[in-house]
Amino acid sequence: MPEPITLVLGGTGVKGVASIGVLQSLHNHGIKIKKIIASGVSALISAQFALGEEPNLLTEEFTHFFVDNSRSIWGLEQLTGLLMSRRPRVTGSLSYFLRERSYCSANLKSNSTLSWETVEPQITRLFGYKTFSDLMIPLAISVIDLKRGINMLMDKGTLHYSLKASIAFPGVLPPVSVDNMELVSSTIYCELPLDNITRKDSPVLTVDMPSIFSEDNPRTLLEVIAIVDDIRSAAIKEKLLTKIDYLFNLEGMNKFRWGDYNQIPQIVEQARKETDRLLKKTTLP
Amino acid sequence: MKVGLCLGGGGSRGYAHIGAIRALTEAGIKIDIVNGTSIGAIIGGMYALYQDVDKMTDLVKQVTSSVNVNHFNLFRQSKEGPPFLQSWLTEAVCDISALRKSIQSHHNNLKALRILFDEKRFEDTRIPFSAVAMDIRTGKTAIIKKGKLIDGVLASASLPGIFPPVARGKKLLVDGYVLANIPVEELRQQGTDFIISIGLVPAPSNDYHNGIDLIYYIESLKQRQLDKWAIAESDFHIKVDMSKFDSSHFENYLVAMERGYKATQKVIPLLKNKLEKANA
Repeated sequence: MPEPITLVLGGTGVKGVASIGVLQSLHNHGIKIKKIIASGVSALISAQFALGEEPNLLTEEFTHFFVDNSRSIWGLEQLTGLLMSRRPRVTGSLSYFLRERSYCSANLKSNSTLSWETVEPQITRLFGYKTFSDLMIPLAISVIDLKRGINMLMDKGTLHYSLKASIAFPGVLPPVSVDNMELVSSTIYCELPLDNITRKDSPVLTVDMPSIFSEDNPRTLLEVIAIVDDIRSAAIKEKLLTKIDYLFNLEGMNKFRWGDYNQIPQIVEQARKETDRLLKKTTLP
Repeated sequence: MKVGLCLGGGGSRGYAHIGAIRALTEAGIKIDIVNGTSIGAIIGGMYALYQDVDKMTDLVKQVTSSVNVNHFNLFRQSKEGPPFLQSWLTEAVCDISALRKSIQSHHNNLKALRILFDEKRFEDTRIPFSAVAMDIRTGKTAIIKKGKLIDGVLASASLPGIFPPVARGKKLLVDGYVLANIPVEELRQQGTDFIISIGLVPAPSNDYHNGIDLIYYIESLKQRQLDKWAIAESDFHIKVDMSKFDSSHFENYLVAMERGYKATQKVIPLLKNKLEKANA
């Protein structure tokens, strides 16, 4: 009888959507999961999976969201290295300038480019008032509490607020106020929720995607700051990954441009194939 | 045993390093090698070059009186002042942020560094010195120990967003605080046996009013974590309490020096004890 594992899933934006393929593959191979620790978009996908639903049903939702809101998520693309190319053809265009400028303007005047009205109805439709205890696999959602300045795991109560907090990427969606806490996504701090893993969680499997680090020169102040932010998150991730038992590095994903939102179904499919390949190569406990 | 001094970044709080160095010198603690990041590189470079705390204090005084070294934070200014100025500044900040690489040029920095270092080179220092910067083209820390002191120190103190990155060969360098605000590992790589590190950054403040503040706050949480890991690698860490000190005003250098001096003086017996044990 194989020992069940703790699965750690993160990834911001489109990188997180790839978790759908990862969960499909693990499920198809009959890998026993005792707990999922997730952040960002992966938290939504993991909740869907833990409810016993097919996570792939979310692929279309995410594709719509990213395509419809691509003008407002400049910060998400830049601060997480999702937008690979800083080549003049992309960055020299008027539309790029306007996206960058409106990101700055929105974040000086308020605290985000999007409001909850854009995504809250979908979260309610998908998860209603379900609670963590309705899940068939225990799930812990990684967030940052701004009031106390700490990374923490949410694993009790209604799913709704925790799921909102998991995708409240600073500068893109506003922080979520609940129970005297002010919560945002932890993916801006570290792409993978590796902070709160304990010895009890062992053996732990985590899935990492290649960072798209372009060696192009930054052209603007915000790009410089975004690169710096990305480099720091990567350094934290690298250090925290040393305490993980099993690491799946989905190297084959680097053929995609994360900023190409119409390719989301292909990204999911590739993540599934990559996980299949790695499962064949690795002996889990 | 090779004893190294590792000076952390922290804007104008960095003058506390001069006070700390005064206390170490008075206690007769001999430093064989020094490195630093940002203001730590500026003070470290002066210390390695002159080995004279009085001269360092005089030079700082000279810089403060002749060069405008306060880097004005436009992001902050756009939230203060009369409403018409606020909205005008907000628009200006947005244009600058999406069109230029930084708010300020290096003009005043170079003027200040010329007073401190003249044309002196890393090779001229009395004890080995290195400045720590970060290459944003590779995402790796860069240790600079060759060439003109002005050039190396300038790169180490190019705060991203405020000052433009500095090109050096194939590298594009910014302030080393990004990955190594307290560059202990970088000093260890140079064969240092006992590292005394000095940190100046206070606890992150969660006083945020907009999205930019919020992102800056999360950056400070990351910095706290990276500093924690760096300090754990050091043999003796001196934490100077710089809370309630406005780091954007460089003319408060005497207050900072005093705090650095007192914090270091207090731990001298403990440090001597540790050094003796390490020597044995």
